[in-house]
Amino acid sequence: MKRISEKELYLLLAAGALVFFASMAVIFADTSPEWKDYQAEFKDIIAENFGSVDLATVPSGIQQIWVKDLNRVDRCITCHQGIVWKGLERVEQPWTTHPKPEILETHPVEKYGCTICHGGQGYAVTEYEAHGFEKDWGEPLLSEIIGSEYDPRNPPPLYEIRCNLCHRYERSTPGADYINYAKSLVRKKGCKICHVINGNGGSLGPDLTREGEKYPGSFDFSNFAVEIPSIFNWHFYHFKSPSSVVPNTIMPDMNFQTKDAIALTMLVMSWKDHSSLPIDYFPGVELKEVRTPEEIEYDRRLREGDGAFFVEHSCFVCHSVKAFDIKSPTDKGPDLSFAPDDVRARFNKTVEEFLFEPTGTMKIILESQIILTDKQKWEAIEKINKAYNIVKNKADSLSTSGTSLR
Amino acid sequence: MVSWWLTFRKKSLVITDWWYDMRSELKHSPWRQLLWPWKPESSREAGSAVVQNFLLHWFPNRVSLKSLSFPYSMYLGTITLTLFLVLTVTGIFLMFFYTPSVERAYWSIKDIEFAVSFGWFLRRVHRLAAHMMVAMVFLHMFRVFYTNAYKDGTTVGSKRSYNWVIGIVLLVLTLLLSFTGYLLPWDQLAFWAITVGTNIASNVPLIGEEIRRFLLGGTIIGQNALIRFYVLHVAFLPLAMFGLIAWHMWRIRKDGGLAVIEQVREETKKQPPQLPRKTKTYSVLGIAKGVTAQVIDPTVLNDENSVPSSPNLTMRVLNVVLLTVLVLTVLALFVHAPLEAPANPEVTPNPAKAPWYFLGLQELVGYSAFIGGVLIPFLVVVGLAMIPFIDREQTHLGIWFTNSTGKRWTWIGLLWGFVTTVVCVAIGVMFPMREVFAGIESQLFFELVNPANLLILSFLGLYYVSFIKTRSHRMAGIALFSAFVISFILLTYIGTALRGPNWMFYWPWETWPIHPISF
Amino acid sequence: MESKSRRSFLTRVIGGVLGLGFVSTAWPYVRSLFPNVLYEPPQRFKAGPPGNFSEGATFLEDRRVFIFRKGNAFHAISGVCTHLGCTVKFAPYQKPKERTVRGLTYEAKGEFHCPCHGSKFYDEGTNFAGPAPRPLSWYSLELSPEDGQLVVDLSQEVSRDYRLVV
Repeated sequence: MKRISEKELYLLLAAGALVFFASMAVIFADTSPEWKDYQAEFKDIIAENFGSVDLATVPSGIQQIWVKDLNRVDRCITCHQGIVWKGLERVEQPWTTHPKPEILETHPVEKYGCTICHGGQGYAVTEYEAHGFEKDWGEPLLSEIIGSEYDPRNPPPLYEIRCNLCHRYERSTPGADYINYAKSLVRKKGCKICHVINGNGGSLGPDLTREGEKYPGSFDFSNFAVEIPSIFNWHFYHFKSPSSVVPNTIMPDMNFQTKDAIALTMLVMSWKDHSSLPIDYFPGVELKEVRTPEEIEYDRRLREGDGAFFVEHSCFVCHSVKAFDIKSPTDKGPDLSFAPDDVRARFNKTVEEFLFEPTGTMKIILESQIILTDKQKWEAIEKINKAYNIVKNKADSLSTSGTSLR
Repeated sequence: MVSWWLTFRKKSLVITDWWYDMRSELKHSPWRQLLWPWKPESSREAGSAVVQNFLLHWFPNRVSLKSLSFPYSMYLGTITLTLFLVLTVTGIFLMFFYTPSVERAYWSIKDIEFAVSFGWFLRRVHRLAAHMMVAMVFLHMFRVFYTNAYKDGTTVGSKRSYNWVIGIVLLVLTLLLSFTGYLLPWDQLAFWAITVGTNIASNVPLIGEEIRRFLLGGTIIGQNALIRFYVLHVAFLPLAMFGLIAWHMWRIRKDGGLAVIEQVREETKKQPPQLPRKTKTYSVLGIAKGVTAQVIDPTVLNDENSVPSSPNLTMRVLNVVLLTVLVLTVLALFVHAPLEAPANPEVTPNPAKAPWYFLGLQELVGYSAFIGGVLIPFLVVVGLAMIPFIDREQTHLGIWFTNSTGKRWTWIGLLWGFVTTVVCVAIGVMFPMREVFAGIESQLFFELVNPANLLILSFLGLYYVSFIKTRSHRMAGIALFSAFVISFILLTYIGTALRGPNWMFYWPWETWPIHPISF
Repeated sequence: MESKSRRSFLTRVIGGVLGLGFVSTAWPYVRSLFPNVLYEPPQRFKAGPPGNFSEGATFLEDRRVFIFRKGNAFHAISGVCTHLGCTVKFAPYQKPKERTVRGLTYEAKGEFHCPCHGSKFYDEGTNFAGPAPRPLSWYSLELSPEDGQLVVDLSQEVSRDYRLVV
């Protein structure tokens, strides 16, 4: 029998070996991502700054914040591990503490994540992709890197655009200076005469309520020379000189300065469709029913007035207390304002005797449902007598005034 | 030194002894059944190894040296099958991580890219293997055509023409598998490629709109369309594919192996007849079934012109499989699988392009949706399937380009295809029909007068002229097929590289306008 | 002879019955794939009060339709290319042009361009370049009797002379 050629076998050896090496390269590529370097460095920083911290408790592996309400997954904290640590303010990125901890206090990371405010690609775990600089990711990280492309000496805080997703109906938002300035310009220059903004305004110009939602491709860059054809640049140049961007436009030149145009561009770009954001993310929107002042006053009296004792101990479920203006929702039992007369008539006892030695239904209730201490019983007796006196006095004054009238 | 050498020799002798012991041990152990195909020690063992092993039983007992030779078949079918198996494995793993819902699909791909260990690798290999499989299926078809391998030949029971048709169906299935997989990431690329693709289907006369509604399960590309494409992609089409591949392989055995075996047969016939020899190594089953293609003429394959399949063919196939996997793995390290912005029905990307193998069609669709999207694909598929029934000359099986005349017509076809395609695209770019005939409003006129039709006519003309000249359907077929090949390649290149925003023509050295961005 | 033809008759009957059996067995599976209800947005929808639309073209992205306003006359043109269904883009002219289409002379404000295969349409819908086989559709517009909003009906195509005067 002819033997198989050696060449075939050597090829097999080479192919097998190369498949092995290629697979090892794949395994190496997957098991040595850049975030592992950042996490190792972070442990060193912790050891240096907080000697007492057990390094085993510092989380490792891909870390993510899943904000279900916002439908966002943010893995930023895989590398930016220090943002919630206090005391790393002087450490450089990506390990530093969040520079504005007061914002984190009102916007807890677990409820908001990172990208809803900062932009970027929360799913990604490499710097270039996570910071959203890919062509196909529409939400780049709104850091100084991008800000300085529009004003190198004084990079605008572009992240304020994203503050205004939720804060758009506020007149002014603490910390969002550019946006606040732009909002004041909108009021001063009367933009709403021609444009619908936030749902109302004139119709001479287009509706701007969802202007920030428009796609880059729907802007026309053919009429002016610009290095980066970006939405930001389009609005910026359009604010500075509308007719150079849209020839024959009826929008007047408002003589906006560079800072005005930047602030207004940020404001306009923030006007996105927010219908998918949960309502409790909007400031100033109270999640409760509307009540009349009388209802609120009645509620206050129930809780704080003289009869508060009877509300607190649930007596009012069955008993009204007319003297203190407490109306029982059921009126199953007699009005407590008349209790001294009532108890004597029915049980031949004083209120004091009845409360300490009740009979009938009240015996069951006071033994099982409403258990009062002796001290509380004395308080009840005192309050009942007070109510009794009020009612009596009212009746007396009524009868006297009645007679006087007569 | 000497003593060291002596101890070494002693030790190595011990090891060699142990090795021989192991081998004889193996010979009598149950492992033998699994291992012996790789190291048969006689022709008889080699035969039994193939027949009695489940994995190998679709190989022949002996294989001719001509069939084994790389320049003949280039193992394109083997590579295609390997890619299909790789796609099955990576696909099954990807199914663990992918959610076919409009809300989750895109984000589950993001997770595969970033959060699943080796998810990026699985996805890249799956995508690369899919693209390569389409390319390999085409190359396989080119090879079979040019080597006359679609012809039945003289062997009893041989029907290679059937297998050619099965192959055409497999080609269509491969394209469908690729196309259905394209929608699944639910990004802009996916959404708009499917928009264009399903709208092409709606240009079928009379029932076009119904076909589109059936494909999408509605009138818009939504959840129904996604789940339909998903089920087609992961269950329906792969099952059909597996069945047809099995049939394709079974037919190769029924047809007596690769077509080049006819050459071996002819050579053997010229030799003085030899006495039939005992080569029966077949199982009881083989005999009970009567003659099989291999035993019908035991004198065709002999010790000079053939080798046992085990281990010669098995090792060769193993090599091809390993090299395919190697190429995929290395490519996956460097070639990223793209994922564009999430699907947005409100924004059409500019340019919106189909997968590369459809870009030739997209170029033609740019002249007329019906001609380029329905008529030409129909003509191509039917025309390809008809080849063995038009060319009935049962000669030159297994010979590349038939003969020197065939080679000449190949060149003529390539040249003609190149020139006419360039001319047609140039007409399309420089003289848009609607500008030339600006006064005409009739749509029928533009369906009839456009560069795509000109291309069809030029191809039919080529067939006619070459048939008149040679009086041979094979020669005319070679010319037409070559023109088709070069036209397909050229149109694909133009659609891929030379068409920019608004489907405008850009030379390779011209830059496209910069795409606007947000910041 | 007789039995032979009887045989062939029987064979044909068996074939026919088996065929019917196959079709009736397969039918439920095939029919199930044609949906009876669709989770798709309604064809008729309110687009907002007419006063909110500015002069010229307004694109309703989510419904892919352009609303044109000229003074108090409105009309709606589809934003879906008639070639292969990509979304066309409105490219306004720098200055309005006089144009005569279908014997009508009017002041053209721009063109529609399709990104997929370069089809072009005049702003009244007529296709004049590229592979698009038909003009863009015009849709019916009306005022809602309830609140006076503009109602677009994508299921009702209208002629290119249609105008809603408010």
